[in-house]
Order: sequence, then C-alpha cells, then structure tokens
Amino acid sequence: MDERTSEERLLVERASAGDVPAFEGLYRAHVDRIHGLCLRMLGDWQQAEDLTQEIFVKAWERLGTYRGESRFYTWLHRVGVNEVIGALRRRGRWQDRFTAPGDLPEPSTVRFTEPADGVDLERAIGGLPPVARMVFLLYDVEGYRHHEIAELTGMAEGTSKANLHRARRLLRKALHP
Amino acid sequence: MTCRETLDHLDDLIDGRLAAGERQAVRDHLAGCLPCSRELAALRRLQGRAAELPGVTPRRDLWPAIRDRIEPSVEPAGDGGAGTNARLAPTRRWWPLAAAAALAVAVLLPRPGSRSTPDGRATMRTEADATPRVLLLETLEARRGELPAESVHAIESDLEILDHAIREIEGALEISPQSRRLRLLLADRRQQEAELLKLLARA
Amino acid sequence: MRHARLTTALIGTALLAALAAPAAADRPIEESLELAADGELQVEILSGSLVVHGWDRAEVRVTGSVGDDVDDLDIGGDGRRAWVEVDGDHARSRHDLDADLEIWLPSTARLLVDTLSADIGVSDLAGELELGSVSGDITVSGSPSSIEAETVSGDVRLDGADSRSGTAVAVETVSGNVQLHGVGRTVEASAVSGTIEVSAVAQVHDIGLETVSGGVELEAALAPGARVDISSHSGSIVLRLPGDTSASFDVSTFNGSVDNDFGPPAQRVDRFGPGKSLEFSTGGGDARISIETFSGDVGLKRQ
Repeated sequence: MDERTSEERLLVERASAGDVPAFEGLYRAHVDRIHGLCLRMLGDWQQAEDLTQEIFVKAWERLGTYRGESRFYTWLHRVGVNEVIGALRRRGRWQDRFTAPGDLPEPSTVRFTEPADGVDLERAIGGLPPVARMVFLLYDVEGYRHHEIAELTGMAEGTSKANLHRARRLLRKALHP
Repeated sequence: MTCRETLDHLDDLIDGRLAAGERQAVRDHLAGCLPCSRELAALRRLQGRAAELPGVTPRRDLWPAIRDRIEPSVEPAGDGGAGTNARLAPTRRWWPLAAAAALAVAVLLPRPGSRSTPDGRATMRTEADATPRVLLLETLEARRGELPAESVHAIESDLEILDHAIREIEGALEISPQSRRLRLLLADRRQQEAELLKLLARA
Repeated sequence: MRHARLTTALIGTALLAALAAPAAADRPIEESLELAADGELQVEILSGSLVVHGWDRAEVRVTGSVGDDVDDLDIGGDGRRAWVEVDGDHARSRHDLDADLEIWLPSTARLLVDTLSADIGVSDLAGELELGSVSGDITVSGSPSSIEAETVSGDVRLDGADSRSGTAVAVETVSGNVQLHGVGRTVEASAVSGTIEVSAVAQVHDIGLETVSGGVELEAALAPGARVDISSHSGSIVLRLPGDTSASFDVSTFNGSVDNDFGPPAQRVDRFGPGKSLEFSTGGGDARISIETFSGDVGLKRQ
C-alpha cells in the first residue's frame, strides 16, 4: 500500500469517527475533480459549486457506509454522479435526456485529424447535446462502463453505447471542421 | 471490410467489445488503409485527452460553507448587530435569472430595464426585481383580458400556493440550515415557479 | 397561444375555406387534403371543441362548423405538413369564435394542437402528440408513441389501456387534474394544485411526479433498474406497489407522516428540528424510489 493511500485511509477512518479537520483533508484532495465533473455536466459555475457542496455534505452523512472495499475516490465519485443526475432530472424534461439519438452516426467521409488543443476540447464537450455529453463524461473521462452508466442513469445500455458513439463522432467533427 | 464498416467498428475496437474474428477483420483493413488508421489514431488521442481532463478548482473556497453544514456553529454573540448570524443560511437563487429576463422579452412585456414611476420618471429595475414571481404577475396582468377567467384564477391562486410553500420551506431552513433535503425541496419549488412562467409565456 | 410555433410561411397550396356572407349562425366545414403517413398536422383554434381520430388513409379530413365571428378558417398543406387554423380578431369578445371540429388524420402522423379553451379529444393515433390548452380539457385514448400535454386549468386524461409498447408521457399543468391510466415506460407529470393519478399496465421504467398542494397516487409494477421520483409540498403521496417489489426506498418528509406497509417506520433524522426520513430496501433493491415532501403525508401500500 503506497504512502498516499495509507494516509488517506487514516483520514477516512478519522473522518468517519466525526473528525471534521480530517474530512477537510479529504475535501481538499478531491474537490477539484468532483467540481470538474459537476461543472462539465451542468455547464454553470454557480450550480456546480452548489452541487459540489451538496456532494461533500452527503458524503459526510454517508461516511458510515463506506467500508473501504473500493478506493475512497471511487466511492465519493459515485455519490457525486448520483447527485449530478438528480440535479439534471430536476432541471426539466428528462424525457428528452434519455431517449436514444435519432441519427445514429454514419461516417460518410473519412477525416484526417490532428491532436486537439485542451481548451478546444472543453468547449467542444460543452457543445455536446446533454445526453451525449453525460455519457461521454462518464465513460471516457470518468471511466464508468456502459452497464454502470445504464444503472446510474436509468437509460438502456444500448442507448449509452449509441450516445458515446455519437459524442465521439460529434467531438471529432467539432475539433476538426 | 469496407472503410465505412471499419469506421463504424472503431469505437467497439478501442472499447474492447469486438469478437476475435471482427477484430482481426478490422485490423486487416487498418493495415492497408491510411485514412482509417489516422481516424483510429485520432479517436485514441481523443480518448487519451478525455481521460486526462483535469479537475477544476471552484472560484471560491467551498469548505467554510460545508463545514458549517456538517458542524453547526456555536450561537452567535447576542449583540444583534455586529456579526452575521451564522445559523441563517443565505437564500440562494436557484432559477437562472438570465433565462427569466429573456422570457420577459419574449412575452412582449414592457422592456424589463425600466419602469415609470407615477411622476413619469423611469427607474431602473434591478436584477432582484425580475424574479419569476414578478414576471408571472406582470404577464398575467398583460394578458388578463385574453385568458379564460378560470385559468387566470388558477394562476393567481396557485402562484399563492407556490409562494406559501417556498416561504414555509425557507422558514424551516432557518431552524435547520443544514438540512440538505429542505434545500432540495426549495430548489424543486423554485424550479416549478420558473416552469410556470414558461408555461404562461406559451399559453 | 403559441404563435411562434405557427409556420405561416409554409410552402404549399392554401385552401382557404370559402366562407360566404354570414347568414346562418354557424358555417359548416368539409375539407380533405393529402398528408403522408409520417406527416404532421398543426391545429390552432381558440375555443369550441376538437375531436381527432387516426385512420389508415394518407389524408386529413376536417369536418364541423365555425362561428360567425371567425374571419378565416385556414386549412392547407403541402403533403407533408398540414395545418388547420382559426383566425379571428382576438381583441373582440370571443363570443362566436368557436370552431367545433372533427378531424381524421393518418394514425402515424404527428399532431400538434394549440387552443385556448376548446376541449381536445384524441383517439387511435400512434405517433407523437403535442397538445396544449389553457382551460380546455385534454383526453387521449390509445397508444401514441409520445404525448406532451400542457394546460393551465384544463384536466388531462390518458387512457392507454392497451399500451405495452411504452408511451413516453410528459404532462404539465397548474390546477388541472391529471389521470394517466395504462401508461408504461416513462412518465413525467407536474402540477401545482392539480392532483396526479397514475396507474400503469406494463412495467414502468422512469417516473417523475411533482405537485405542490395536489395529491399524488401512483400504482405500478416496476421494471428492474426503474427510477421513481415523487416530490410534493403539502399534497399527500400514496404509492401502491406489488408485494414482491424489488426496490430501494429513500423517503423523507419535514412535517408529514409516513405509513409504510413494506417495513420499517421512519426515523427522526435531524436532532435540531423536525424531519423524518426512511431508507430501506425490499427484494433485491433493484428499482430506486425517492419520495420527498414538506408536510404531505406519505403512504407506501402493498397491493
């Protein structure tokens, strides 16, 4: 077990026992990633900050259920994704968010591509339609598998795959028009 | 395998979902096709960059607010004036004000930037005035003559109901500022208020 | 009215109903025009009544009558998109702007309706429906692929008794009462003082219901992985589920009571104030149910 993991284990143990400064340590270690997820999903700074707060408060409340079976970040992350999806649902017609894309991709011309600039990539991700963006972030950025995405969001696994395919196609197009 | 078929299979290839036979067929095609190979390389680069997307530091430090929620602060000094009452949570605006303002224009209200006072001078309406509730009432006034009476009454009385609900939740939040569920309820109701405005704009 | 949605600049032959000088109290209508099976019909009327049926012809047929003050009944189309619109002077008293219409259109076509106070009745359509009224009631029977219905004070009723194919339903109202029977798959409904009753035939997959003061009643079997979200302020929520339901529940209320047939009672959650919450699972905890109220009572009933 490397030094960082055992250090984190210690923090988690103490935080579970009610040690607030220990929880602050966990917060400092993970807030940027959690906030990044929220921001990319919601596309709004204020909402991302509000939601990040909710996620950490919920993580504090639920610390008792973390048994160390996975990395702490993985567990924290799941709490986060659930909250983000909850926030997206509260936003409006989720029906629009969970139906399969009408136009499954058919690459008719072959594109020659170059490496993308980091800033362009963020903008391109922001420009994706909401469902495709969500699946892309969960799969390619956060590393969830399709069956996990299906379970988290309530969409069918096939819909998740179709949306990933669509997201990647749209991103390649956006980065190299 | 054609270029088109190969390109269709690239996602499955990099995600490890192809059966051995298909995988070989794709690889065979790629070995002899430069454009498709380049496409695969681009897809891998995209994936690589996605996996490396960095975290994003919030614009302000969120820890103090989180700490206050998980560890309620001590009673504030009783001087009534000097410090802020740490137990009162600042009410947060949940609705997108920009959207509300845009809607005001869409429903052909008087320009939301100004309003005449009784003596004729225009006053600037501040952002705080353009709440969904205010916009709803103004839209309703503007359209009272066109809409069926039963619907006008429904909007007025249900707006009262929504308002009352929001005030009740805010009151409860003053007692339990760390209640996440109350905040979620408040967000739901505010969202409904914003949706009501959109509904009226479309009616 | 959704004027922005009217595409009055549609290309095509406009068949203006020739309205003779007013003599009779109502003017009869009888028009037919071509419409492809996957075409679209837009209907906009102020008041009166509208009944729409699906049939298997590639044709729209409009019959009925319009009131004296109707300046124009505009019926037209280009074979792919058709429209039926009442034009009248909105500023005038709406005494005789009624249009009482009965329309047949291809059962797989898309239907969009906008009205102020006409009641809308739709049957035997299998495509997408977008129905909006202010005070008119909306009644749909059959199994459309999707329904979006919006009213201010009109009631919304859906009878999809044979619907196993999974209609996607989205309903928004202020004070109308919503009754959705025999729906499957995905349902979303929102009301302020209106009540919401949902009963499903097939397994539901995704349900989101919210009211403020109206009550909610949901009777359903849940598909694996289903999500149910219900939120109310003071309205009571009653959930009726089969005894062998497999779900994880997350129920909370600030001031209301929780009556649970499925197991444990709610616990006080917050030592600083009122508030009860209840989290438990039945069966394999497959579906996810979340219920939140402020003061509304919650009942989880075993069927």
